[in-house]
Amino acid sequence: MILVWLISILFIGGIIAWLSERVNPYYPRLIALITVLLDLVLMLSLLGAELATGGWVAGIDAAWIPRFGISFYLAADGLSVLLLLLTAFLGVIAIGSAWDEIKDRAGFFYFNLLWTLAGVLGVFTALDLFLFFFFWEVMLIPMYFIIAIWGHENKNYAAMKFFIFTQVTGMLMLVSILVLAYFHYIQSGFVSFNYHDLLTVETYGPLEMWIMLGFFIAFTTKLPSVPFHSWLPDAHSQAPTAGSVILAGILLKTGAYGLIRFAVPLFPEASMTFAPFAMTLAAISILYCAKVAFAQVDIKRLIAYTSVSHMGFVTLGVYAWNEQALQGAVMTMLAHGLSAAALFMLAGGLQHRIHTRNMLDMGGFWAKVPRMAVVVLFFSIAALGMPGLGNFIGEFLALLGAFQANVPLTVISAFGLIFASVYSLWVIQKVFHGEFVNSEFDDSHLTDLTHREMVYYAAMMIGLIWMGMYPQSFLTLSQPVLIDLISSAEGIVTSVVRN
Amino acid sequence: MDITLADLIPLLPLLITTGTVVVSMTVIGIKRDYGLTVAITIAGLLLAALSAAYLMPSTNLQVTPLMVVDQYSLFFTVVTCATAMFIAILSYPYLANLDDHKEEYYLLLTIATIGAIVMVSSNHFVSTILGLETLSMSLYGMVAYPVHAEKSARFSLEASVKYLVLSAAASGILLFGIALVYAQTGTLEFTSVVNVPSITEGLGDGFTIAALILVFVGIAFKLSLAPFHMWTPDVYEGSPLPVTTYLATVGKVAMFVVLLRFIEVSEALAFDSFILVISFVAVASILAGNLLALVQSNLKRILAYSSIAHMGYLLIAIVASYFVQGSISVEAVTIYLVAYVIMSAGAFGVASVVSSSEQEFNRIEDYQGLFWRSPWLAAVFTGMLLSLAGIPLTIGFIGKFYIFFAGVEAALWVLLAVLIIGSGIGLYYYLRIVYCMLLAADIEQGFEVSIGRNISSHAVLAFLFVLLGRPWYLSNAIGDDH
Amino acid sequence: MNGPLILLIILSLMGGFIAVPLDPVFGQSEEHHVSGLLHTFMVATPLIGIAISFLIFYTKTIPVEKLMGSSFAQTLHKFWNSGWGFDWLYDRLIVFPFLWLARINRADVIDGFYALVVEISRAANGMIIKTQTGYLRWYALSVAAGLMVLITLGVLL
Repeated sequence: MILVWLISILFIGGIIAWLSERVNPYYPRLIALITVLLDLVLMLSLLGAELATGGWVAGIDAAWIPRFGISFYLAADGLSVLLLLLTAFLGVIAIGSAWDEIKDRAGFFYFNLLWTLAGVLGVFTALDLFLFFFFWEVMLIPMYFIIAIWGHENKNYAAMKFFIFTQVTGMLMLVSILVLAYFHYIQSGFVSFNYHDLLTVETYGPLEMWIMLGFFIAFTTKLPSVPFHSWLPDAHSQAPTAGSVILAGILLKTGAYGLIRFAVPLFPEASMTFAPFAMTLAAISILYCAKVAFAQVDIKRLIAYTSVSHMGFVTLGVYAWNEQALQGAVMTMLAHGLSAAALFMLAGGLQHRIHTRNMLDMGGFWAKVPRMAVVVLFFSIAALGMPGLGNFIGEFLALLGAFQANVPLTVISAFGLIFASVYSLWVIQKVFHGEFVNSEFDDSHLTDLTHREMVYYAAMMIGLIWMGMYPQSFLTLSQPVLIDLISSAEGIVTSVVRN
Repeated sequence: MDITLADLIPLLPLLITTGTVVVSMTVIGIKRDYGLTVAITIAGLLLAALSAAYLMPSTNLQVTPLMVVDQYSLFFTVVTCATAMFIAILSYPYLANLDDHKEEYYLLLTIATIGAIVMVSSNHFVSTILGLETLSMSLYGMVAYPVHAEKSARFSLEASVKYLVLSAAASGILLFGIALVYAQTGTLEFTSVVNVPSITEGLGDGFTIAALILVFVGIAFKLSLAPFHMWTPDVYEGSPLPVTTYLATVGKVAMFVVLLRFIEVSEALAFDSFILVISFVAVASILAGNLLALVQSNLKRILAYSSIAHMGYLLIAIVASYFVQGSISVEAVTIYLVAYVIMSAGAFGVASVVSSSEQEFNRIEDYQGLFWRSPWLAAVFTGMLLSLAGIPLTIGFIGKFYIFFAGVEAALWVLLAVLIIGSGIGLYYYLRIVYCMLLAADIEQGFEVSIGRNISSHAVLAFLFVLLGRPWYLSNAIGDDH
Repeated sequence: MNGPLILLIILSLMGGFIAVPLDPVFGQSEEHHVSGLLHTFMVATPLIGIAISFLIFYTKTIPVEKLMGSSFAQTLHKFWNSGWGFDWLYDRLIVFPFLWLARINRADVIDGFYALVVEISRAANGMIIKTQTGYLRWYALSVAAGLMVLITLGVLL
C-alpha cells in the first residue's frame, strides 16, 4: 500500500503545487519540496529485513482491467528501493536547482516535475507489464512539457525529438508486451500481463529474438546507447537545469532498470545469443560517445555525451550477466545518477550566470568562482572514475564482471576510462584555467555558488564518497535480487537446453 | 406481414428521430424560433439515444427484412444520436449570428442522423443505400449551409459541389458492386459470398472479388481511405466547423459499421486477394494521411488528413478479424470508433467553440499561447490531440491498444510496422499544435474566449473530456462476451 | 640538508644487497640464463658512459663545442633532448588522430541518419502534397485510377 501512497502523494502534490500558484508564486516550489521530502521519508520505511533476503515488499495487486488480465500490481525489492531512493533524492536536488531558475509559470513547472517523478516511481515498482508501460509513457508527457516550455533556444526541436524517439520505441515495446501476453494466453489459457506469469512463458527461436529486440530497443533508447542516443544531447542542452537533472539522473536509469528487470529475465536465451552484440554496442557507446563528447563546445552537450558513454558500462555489465557485472551496472546507475546530475546542475548554473553554454567563450573562471571550480573538479574526477568515489566502484565492477564474459570487448571498453579523463580535464582546463576574458558575455552575474547550492552539492558529494568508500551498504540491497534474477534466468536456459 | 405495435418498439430510436423532424418542421412552419428549434432537436436526439440505450440489453431481432436491431446496432445508434446531439449543441452558438434562415440546418442534421441510424442497423443493401443517400443528401446541404454568408460562401459551396459530384460517383461504384454481388448470391441481404446456395449459378471467383472490391471502393470513398481520400481536406476545410465535425464523426462511424457488418457476414476475407486489397488500402491510408498532414498549418486539413490515417488503422482490425477467434477485432473496431468519435468531436469542438459562422479560427497560429489564455480549452484540446496521437491516459491509446492486440493475435507484422511508423509521423504534427499552444500568447490576433456566451458548448467539451480520460466504461459496455 | 641525499646515495649503491621479502608475492622466479657477452656489455656500458662524460666535462679533452659542431650531433641532441621523440610519436599516433576524429565528427554522424529520416518524410510530404490540387476533375480521376489499381490488384494477382 505504501507504494501507492508514494506515487499518489506525488500526483496530488503536483496538483496542489499547480493550484497554489494563484495564492502565492512562491508556494509551488515549497509544496513540491515538502511533497518529495515526504516521499523520501516514507521510502526509508521500506528499508527492512525482508529486502536483505531478496523478497518483495509492500506489494499491492488489484484487478484493474480484468478484460485483459491487467492488474494494478506494484511491489518493490532491493533493486527497486535503491532506485526509488535515488529518484526521491534527485527529486529534491532537482527542485533545489529550479528554486531560483524557474520563475515563469512555476506552478505548472512543479506540477510537471512531480508527475514525472511519480511516473518514474511507477516504472520502478510496476510488476504488471501493462502498468509498467503505462508509467513508462506517463513520465514522458510532463517531461515533454518541461523541455518545451522552460527550455532554451531550440526547445521545440529537442522536445519533439525526445518525445518521438521514446514514443516510437515505446510502441515497439508495447507490441512485444502484447506478443508475450498472447503467448501466455496460448500456453496457459488466459491473458495476463503479470510479470511473474510472463516469466514462465516459453518463447522460441527467431520470434523470441524479435520480441526481445522490442524491449531492447525501447530500453536502450532511454538508456541511451548507440545508435539510439541522438535525442539525448539535444534534450539535455535545451532542457532547463531541473529537467536535465531528472533526465540524466533518473530517466536514463529507467532504461537500465528495464534491461535488468525485463529484457534479460524474460528472454534469457535470446539475450544470451544477443549478448555479444549488446556488449559490442556498449563498447561502441563508451568509446564513440566519449570521443564525440570531447569534440563538443556546448558544455551541456558535452556532459550529455559523457552520459551516454558512462551508461555504456551499464549495458556492458547487464549483458555480461554475472553477479559482479550486474552489481557494477547498478552501482554505475546510482553513482552516475549523482555525478551527472551534479554536472548538469553546474553547467546549468553557469548558463544561468553568463547566458551561454559555449565553452570557447569561457576561460579563467577559477579566480572568479573558486568554490564552483572546486565542485566541478570534484564531480569531474568522480565521473572519470577516481578510486574512492562511487563511479569507480561501478565501472570497475562492471569491467571485472564483463572480463569473465568477453575479454576483448572489456579491454576495449576499459579505454573509455582514459577518454573520460581526457574530456573531463579538458573541461576543467577550458573553463576554469587560463586567462579570464569576458568579451563574449556579460559577467556581472558570474557569482560563486551560494550556500544553498553548496548544500546540494555537499549532499551529492557525500553520497558519492559513501558509495566509493563503503559500497557494501548498497550492494547488500541489490545482491539478493540480482542473484535471484541470474539463477532464474539460468534455470530457464538450462531447462530448455535439456529438453 | 402485419406489423404490430410491439414490432415497432425496436425501431423506437428511428421513430423518435423521424418524429423530431416532423415536429420541428411544423414548428418552423408556424413560427421561426431559433432557440425552440434547437431545443426540439436536442431533446429528440437525446430521447432517441436514451431509448436505444434502454433497448440495448434486451433486443436482438430482425425488424423487416431490411433492418436488424441488435446490441451492436443499438450501441452505435446511441453513439450516433449522442454525437449528433453534441454537434447540435455546438452548432447553436456557431450559427447564432448567421444572417440567414438558421432553423433548417437542424432539420438537415436530424435527417442525416436518421440516415445514419438506418445504416448502423442495416444488413441489407437496400437499407444501406437508403441510409447512405439520406445521410449524404442532407450533408450536401449542410456543407453549403452558410452559402449566403459573405466570408465563407465561396468555400462552402465549392466544398459541397465537390462532395456531391464525387460522392455520387462513389455511390455509382457501390451500386455496381452491389449488382455484381446480387448476381453472385441472388439476394440483396448481406450474406456469405463464399458458400453460395446451389440454386444460383454464381459468376465465379474473379467476378466475386471484383464485386467485393467495387463495394469496398464505394465505402472507402466515404471513409476517405487512400487513394479515394483527396476530397477530404477540401470538403472539411470548406464546411462550417460543426458540419465538418458531423462529417468526421457520424458520417464515418455509420459507414464503417456497414463495412464491418458486410465484411463479417459476407466472409469476403476468405479471398486472399481481397485481404491484399484491404491491406494495401490500409497501408496507403496510414502513410498518405500522416505524410500529408506533416507540414500542414490549417487545423481542419490536419484533422482531415489524420482521419484518413485513423480509418487506415481501423482497417487493420478488420483484416485481423479473419485470423482471430472470438470478438477481439469487432471489439477493437467498436472501441476505436468510439474513441475516434470522442477525440474528433472534441478537437473540432474546441475550434467550434471559439469560432462562429462569421469567422473561423482554423490556423494553428490562432491557437498560439492558448495554454495561458484559456487553460481549460487548451487542456481539452491537448487531451484530444494526445488521444489522437495514441498516448496513454487517453481513450485513443485504448483504441490503439486494442488494434495492436488484434494485430498481434493475427500476426499482421507488416501492418503493425506501418501502424508504428504512421503513429510516429503523426506525433510530429499533433505535437506541433500542442507546442504552438504552449508558446507565449500573442494577444493581437487571438480570439476572445468567453465561456458565458456558449456555456452549453463548454459543457459538451467537458463531457467529452471526461469520456476521454475514463475509457474503462467501454470494456464493460461491450467486452462481456469474450 | 645533505644528510638525506647521502643516505639515498648509499641506498642506491648498496640497496641491492638488502633482501626484500617479495618471494611470497611474486613466487619463485625462474632462472634466467644470460650470455656472458651480454653480461659484459651490461657492466661495461655505464662504465664507458662515466668515462666519456669524465673526458667531456672534467678534463675537457673532448670540447663540447666541437662535438656539437656537426649537424648529425645537433639532430641527435634534439632527438635525445625530446626524450627519444616519444612525445612526437604519441602526437602522431594518438593525439592527432583523436583530434582529427573529434573534429570531423563533431556533429555526430549517427544523428545524420535521423536527420535523413526527417528529410525523407519531408520529401515524401512534398511529393504527395502535390496530389491535393483542389481540382475536381483530378480527384475524380484519382478515384477511377484507384479503382482500377485495386481491381487489378485483387483480380489479377
